[in-house]
Amino acid sequence: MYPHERSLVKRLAKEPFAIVGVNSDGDLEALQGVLEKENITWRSFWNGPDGTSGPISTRWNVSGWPTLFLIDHTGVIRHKWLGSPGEEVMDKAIEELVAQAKKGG
Amino acid sequence: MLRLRRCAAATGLAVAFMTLAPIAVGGLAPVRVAAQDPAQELEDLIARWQKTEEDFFAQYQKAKTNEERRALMDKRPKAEDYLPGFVEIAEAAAGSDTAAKAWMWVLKLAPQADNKELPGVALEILLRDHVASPEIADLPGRIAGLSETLGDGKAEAALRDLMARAPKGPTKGGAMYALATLLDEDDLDPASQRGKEVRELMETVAKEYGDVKDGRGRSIGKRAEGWLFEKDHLQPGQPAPEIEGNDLSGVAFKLSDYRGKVVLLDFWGNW
Repeated sequence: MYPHERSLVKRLAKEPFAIVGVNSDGDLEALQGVLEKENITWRSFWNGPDGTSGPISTRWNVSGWPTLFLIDHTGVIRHKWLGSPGEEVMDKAIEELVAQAKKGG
Repeated sequence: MLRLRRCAAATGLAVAFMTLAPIAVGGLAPVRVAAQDPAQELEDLIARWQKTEEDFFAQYQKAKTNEERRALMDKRPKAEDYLPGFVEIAEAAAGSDTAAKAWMWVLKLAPQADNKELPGVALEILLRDHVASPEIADLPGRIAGLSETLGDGKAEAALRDLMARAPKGPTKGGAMYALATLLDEDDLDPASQRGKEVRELMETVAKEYGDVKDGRGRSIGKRAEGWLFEKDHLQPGQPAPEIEGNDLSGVAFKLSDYRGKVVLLDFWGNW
């Protein structure tokens, strides 16, 4: 996931697009090294010290990781994937919504 | 009549099983049980099993090469060596909470021993004699986990039976949640009979069983709430619910800060 996400962030840097994470690692300190090593520049909510049982993933009924939601520029959920659907499927869906966002202004 | 005969068959099975089992493992003799105080015997047997497992995992973690690990795997404590002891105690203490607890251990260890017969036997006796026992709170989860071994609708029937006959408490709530999860499917039509039943079960669990925990310590009431929230608010076409929280540096932000942009919301973890 990380390499694909890094390439999305780079490729769509000037487009109306962002990755927002919800991180479910209970131990934040251990995670700091990973953020640097993997060059994870996008912002994440922290799911809290209970890790995968934390409040955000519980409310969103997430029980598998990764789970991905693609949300359009008006805030409507357009796709939901349990596990990565593959780079092509994701890229295509994202590009469609980015084009709509630019058209809709 | 049928029930009696099947129970006798069950006992025969357990006895035959015991004669075949090796007597000593790792220097201990785990299967000999003197039938004096079954409750104490049961605690001792559980302690012996847990100790051998702990010792094994401690050694396994210390192993440095794959060869060492392989050699250790051959010495791994075998659930099949312990199962007969649990069956023997359960039969000696028939009808008591000790028996209920021993049969629960049979259900727990049978999959590890790759035993396909004993789960059905244990389940039948637990449903017949122990529906109100406080020892069977984990039974719904075990039934769900064993649904393939039990075969054709047996898990569903057992959960319905528990739901109907267990007194209000963890077992009944657990059975409702396990049944709802068992009946739920990705493309289940919410307007169908089954779809409606799943929703009703989830609503009851969310309302009445917030204090009951699943096998991983999560509240089944909260999990049912999550299921309902997902169906009502997290489907494609619905507005994404707000998330307010802190980022990994402790700075507060909101999902709606990103309105105007396409957002890939990624539930992730580094493991």
